Amino acid sequence: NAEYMGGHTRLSEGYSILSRDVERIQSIGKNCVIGQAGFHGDNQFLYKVLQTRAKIFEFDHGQALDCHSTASLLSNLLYSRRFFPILSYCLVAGVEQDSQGQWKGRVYGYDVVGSFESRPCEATGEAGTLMLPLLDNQVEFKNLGPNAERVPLTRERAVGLIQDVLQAATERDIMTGDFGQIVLIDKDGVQQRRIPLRRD
Amino acid sequence: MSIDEYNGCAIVAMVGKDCVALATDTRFGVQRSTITTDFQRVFQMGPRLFVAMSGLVTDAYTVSARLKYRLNLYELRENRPVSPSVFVSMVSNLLYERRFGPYFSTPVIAGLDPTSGKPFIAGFDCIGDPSIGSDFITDGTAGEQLMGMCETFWRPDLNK
Repeated sequence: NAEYMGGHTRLSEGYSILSRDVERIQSIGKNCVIGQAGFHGDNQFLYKVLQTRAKIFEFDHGQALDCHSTASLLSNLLYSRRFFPILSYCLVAGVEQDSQGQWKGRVYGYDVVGSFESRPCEATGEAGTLMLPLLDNQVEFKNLGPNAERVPLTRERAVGLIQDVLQAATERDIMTGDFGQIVLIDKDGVQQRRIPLRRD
Repeated sequence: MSIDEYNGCAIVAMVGKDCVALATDTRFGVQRSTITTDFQRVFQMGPRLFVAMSGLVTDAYTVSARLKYRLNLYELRENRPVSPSVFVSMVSNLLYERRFGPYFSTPVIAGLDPTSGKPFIAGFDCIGDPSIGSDFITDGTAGEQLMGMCETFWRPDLNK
């Protein structure tokens, strides 16, 4: 009934750092956020387009976009540029009410042309491959022996896990570092937290 | 698809308290097809010295055979088991001889020094640049994924 997303705030070009303070995770509506990796120019463009389309939806329909609709809209936006792609590796995360009124968290992962899937957890970007195996193991309990402890994912544990994967990625990926931006989404809205990461 | 990804593999070596561990996957595939699931990539070079070869399987086998040949001659001449640090130089030399037409295979060494028993791990690139690890070495097509896991879980003096 809650979602957590983590990102880093370093913007780099080759071996240089352009900025240590770039927010990669931004809100769309009250209960949904989008995190973007890849080409920063396309990320900014895509976010503006998505935000505008979300606003237009609200004016047309009198209610805000919910999470899965935002995800679907993003997929269509990306596919509309199938032959000159927007080089943005997106993650959409948010909470939405299901048919019984229960709030459920969802994460959607994308490729650059809009193929998307809802998954229990996802990691993207240059260091995505470094982070994903740990998440598979600790969130989805994959490849654990029958006697291994399956620790339930509470809020503290989820935030701790995200911190751990960001630190691990920062250690080994040169493009990751400076600050980690952690976003918690639940039915009351979006909260943000920053953690320091290695600056080298 | 790159030549390093033709057969595919995952290799990890770790230093623990007075011990080392070396692990590989056992899939032998040709691009997307799997040929066997019980394939050996680890070769024993001494009583406490193992090498795992990543990358193209044919080169993995060739390099390990040639390495064993040189190792055997060394041990005959020197009349003692080879130490890991000398073995690193041996591997490096063998790979660099093919600097402009390399073997598409990278070794990962794990062993204990024969005299001191000190744990030792090392990784290489395909032309023999050695990288002696104090914590862990990962290699293969799943190298990045293994790196993330090792970075999170490894700490000094892990026991068996």
